[in-house]
Amino acid sequence: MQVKVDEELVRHIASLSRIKLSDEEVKALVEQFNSILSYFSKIQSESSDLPIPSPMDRLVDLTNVYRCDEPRRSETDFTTLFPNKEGRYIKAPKIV
Amino acid sequence: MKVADVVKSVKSGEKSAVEVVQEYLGVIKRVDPKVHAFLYVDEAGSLSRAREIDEEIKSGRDPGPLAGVPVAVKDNIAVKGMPLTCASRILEGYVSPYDATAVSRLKAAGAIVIGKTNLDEFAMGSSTEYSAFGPSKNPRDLSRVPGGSSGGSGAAVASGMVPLALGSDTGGSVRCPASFTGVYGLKPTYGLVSRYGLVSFANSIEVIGGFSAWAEDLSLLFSVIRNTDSPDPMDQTTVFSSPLAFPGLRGIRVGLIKETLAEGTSEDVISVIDRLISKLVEAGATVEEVSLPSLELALPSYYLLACAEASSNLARYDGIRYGKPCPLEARNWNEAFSEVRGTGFGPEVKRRIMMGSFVLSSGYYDAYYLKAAAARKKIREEVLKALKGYQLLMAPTNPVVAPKLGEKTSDPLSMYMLDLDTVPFNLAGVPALSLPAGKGAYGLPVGVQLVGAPLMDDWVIGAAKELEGMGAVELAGEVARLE
Amino acid sequence: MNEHKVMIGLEVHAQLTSLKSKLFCSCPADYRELQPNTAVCDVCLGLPGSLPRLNGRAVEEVLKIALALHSKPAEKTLFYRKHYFYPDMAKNFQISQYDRGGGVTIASGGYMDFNLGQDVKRVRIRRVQLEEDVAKIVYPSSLMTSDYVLVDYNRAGVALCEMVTEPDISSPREARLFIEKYSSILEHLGVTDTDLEGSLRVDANVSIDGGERVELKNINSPKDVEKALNYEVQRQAMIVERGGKIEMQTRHWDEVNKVTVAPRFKEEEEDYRYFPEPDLPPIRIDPNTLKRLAAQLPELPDQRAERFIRQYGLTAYQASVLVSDKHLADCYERSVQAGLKAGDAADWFMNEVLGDLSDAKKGTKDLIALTDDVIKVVEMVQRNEITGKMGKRLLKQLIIGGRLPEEVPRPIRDEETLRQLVAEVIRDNPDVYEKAKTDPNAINFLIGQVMKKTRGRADPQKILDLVRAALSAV
Repeated sequence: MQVKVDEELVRHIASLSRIKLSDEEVKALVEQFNSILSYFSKIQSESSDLPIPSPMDRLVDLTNVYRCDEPRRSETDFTTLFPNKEGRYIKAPKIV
Repeated sequence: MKVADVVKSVKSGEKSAVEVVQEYLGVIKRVDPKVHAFLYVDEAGSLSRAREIDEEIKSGRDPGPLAGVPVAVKDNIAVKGMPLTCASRILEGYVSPYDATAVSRLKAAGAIVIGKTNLDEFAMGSSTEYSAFGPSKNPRDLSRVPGGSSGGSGAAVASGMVPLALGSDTGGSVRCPASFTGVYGLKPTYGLVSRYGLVSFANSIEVIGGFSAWAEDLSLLFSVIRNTDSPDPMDQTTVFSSPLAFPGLRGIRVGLIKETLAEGTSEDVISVIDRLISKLVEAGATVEEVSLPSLELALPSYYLLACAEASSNLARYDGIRYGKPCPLEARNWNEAFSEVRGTGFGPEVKRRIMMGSFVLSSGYYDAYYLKAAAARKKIREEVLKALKGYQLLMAPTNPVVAPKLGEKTSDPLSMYMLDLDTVPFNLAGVPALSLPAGKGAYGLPVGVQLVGAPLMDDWVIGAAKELEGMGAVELAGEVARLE
Repeated sequence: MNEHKVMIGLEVHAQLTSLKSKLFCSCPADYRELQPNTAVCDVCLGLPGSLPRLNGRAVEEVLKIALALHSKPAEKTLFYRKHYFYPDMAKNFQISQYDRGGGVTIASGGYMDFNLGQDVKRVRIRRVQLEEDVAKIVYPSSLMTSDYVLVDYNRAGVALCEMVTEPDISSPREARLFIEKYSSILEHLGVTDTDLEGSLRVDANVSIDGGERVELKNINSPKDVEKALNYEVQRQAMIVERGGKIEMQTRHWDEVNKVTVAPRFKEEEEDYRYFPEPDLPPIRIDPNTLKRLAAQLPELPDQRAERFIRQYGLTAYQASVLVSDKHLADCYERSVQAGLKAGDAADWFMNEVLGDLSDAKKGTKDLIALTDDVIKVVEMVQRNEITGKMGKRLLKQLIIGGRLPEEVPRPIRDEETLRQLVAEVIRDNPDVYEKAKTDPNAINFLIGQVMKKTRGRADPQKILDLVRAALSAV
């Protein structure tokens, strides 16, 4: 599958990623994506006969790593990190 | 001076920890304006800790195997009370409320975190030119890049500003700066050093690694941060293993990876490799060429997988809970998020996040992500198979010496190509070390990689130590004096 | 409105309130009384460098639910990242599970039976999975008019069991009964305290006449399920009857205005970009663990109902009502074990107690502390120490006020006293007395007057006998 990247696709991906782009950025990305993806397209032809790994595959062969169910209150007051706050609440933009 | 000697003099009282720290702070003050390795230096905190260490020693307590040793930490690894910017504007002003496991172990061993070092933004890059706060320079040649993404840490060690530094290695980000600046860089086995506190970029691939000027120092650093007796409960993907004694190079079979010497690898790099081969043979090892054909897929596989994971791991940066604030006046939260991420992230980060979202999106997931995962599995199998026939594999770290600043930044793909020889071992999860074996074009450092089987990190370090002992590592212990 | 074929599928999210800590971090899971953003940490706030740490007990609690739903546990299961941007998601992805592309949820398949009148209805279960809860969003004014929102991450990261059904439910009423039964199962298992606010949340998929399905979100209280679904079914029916077509969309239940609303703007269809969570190793479900859990499974509502029928001689209907709520069933059993007559006690609990609780706006949880006194009252009636009517009144006092009066008024049983009272009433109402010789209503009036004088403390049967005696004595 050779994808032809155009401005519409770039804008769609930018929206999916929640990244605001300027028109110049969009134009530049069309070019860069096309060049990067055409280089990467060899992965499709070369690995077409390779078995798809199970989603359970990991580099380390671990299973059932558990933490015990004991509660712990942190002493840190994390509200000092909040960029916008009201009392102990985080203040966020309205939804709609 | 080797780290062990520093520790000895501090513990014996010959030199105080305060004096040690003051000396290094002095070098930083004089040299860093030229190199820009540091984003943050904690003068007051390190001197205060040094005083504490001196007190402990006076009262007969042992502060640990790294007592009084200053360490620099890459600014994508959490140090409590210090900024954690990841060289990004989106985390400007963010101060970490906790220590990474690797950092708490260093502190518990008596080491002193002297500051945070520069990197490519969110560890995405091979030259440190993608830092939002300006690039670091290569101490060997200030017109050139130090490599990346842990360029600041590499440059700090290579210019004598610190004896030890922590970095992270996702596609070569410790080994590449080590090679370009002429120091040792270790990428441990995946899972052997806890990732807790390492800001995630490609979490199924990356590890915390370290820099030093001497092989012995690297060994000491590694012994402190690794999981020896148990996994780290703070990171459920960790393993542990006891240190292994290296039997010596005599009788060791070394496999030189054919595909890493292909065209694109410059002659001067090949010469350094050849010289190292003769030293290995001199030490009694056998060196043979081995072919790993699937390595051709390593770079595309790595980038597709790493971008996919990056798009996920960086989704959390929206200015709501910490960092650069999200604009409350925006029309709605979607626009607010898009605004803060559009201005807070640099161009390379945006490129990779978007590539990653694309690769994970429905319609393209099978064609790109799954194929990349299949290629990764093949590469890992091939590398592990080779490591059954050979105890060590060998390859150049980079195909060329350090490029000039600005040389690669106009073409992202050409920047990615610098990682050709390093990414296969990230994908395979095996330990890989870059030793500053020799000099190449313009007298610039050339690094050579030694790669071992999973959990055989001590053998890789042991081999480096032995080579250094016989004078085969030209730049060992030789830092650039920029004063 | 015409008859329409309704198909409803439910997605029920139950908090595992039995756990002491959250799913992926050690923050306390019991967040309800706390100040905002105090039960938080680097993990549930998604701070840079944080990593999830799986609570092992959560897996066992979900396996218990799976066993109770006859759902088949997987041999190996894993977590996935589900990506969407929202202020209540600390990482802008939720660690959840997925059942496609090689993904396996903790359990799949299964069914739940519940009583539908005289019949038993079976609803098939599609899957059971484990995932993390999201933060709470508070609106300074209303959803539509607030300039900004406030976010509290205390709830973020609490363990949730998501259970998805096939669209086998055929009416809003069935949905309510289904949820009630599922609630009771969760209570009997001890995994969820369904009385806690927000512990059980429901999303539904509703379609009529084989049309497109509408997703209904934000039904935050099980009590609203039938209302919300009724509204939606009627809304769709009206559109269809006017010749329109239902389009596939997501609507929200507005619990204040009691309507379902479509979002203001057309949301781009969410692409969740699922991929396996790299920071958590897979889980291998050991058959021995399953054996142990199955053996230790507490008595579930169906088994309990069967036992009530067998052990206490109850009817199927009585048993099903009692086990529909664990607290009710517990209190009932306590009362029988304390010596009350089983069948009679069942009627007391099903009729008087439930009714009084409803009037007092209390729940069955409040009944627990009152049970000993309830037993006392019913005992007195069963031993004929007080009349049934007095018992009912006392019970009402107890449940509404929280305690019995210092001295329980005793019935007036003394024949002489009663005869005098009857005589008094006859003296005061001579015309009625005359009428009473032929008219039964007049007799009732006289009885009523005597009851008034005794303030209800006499046995109406006894008074009737005395009035009749007085009438025939003439």
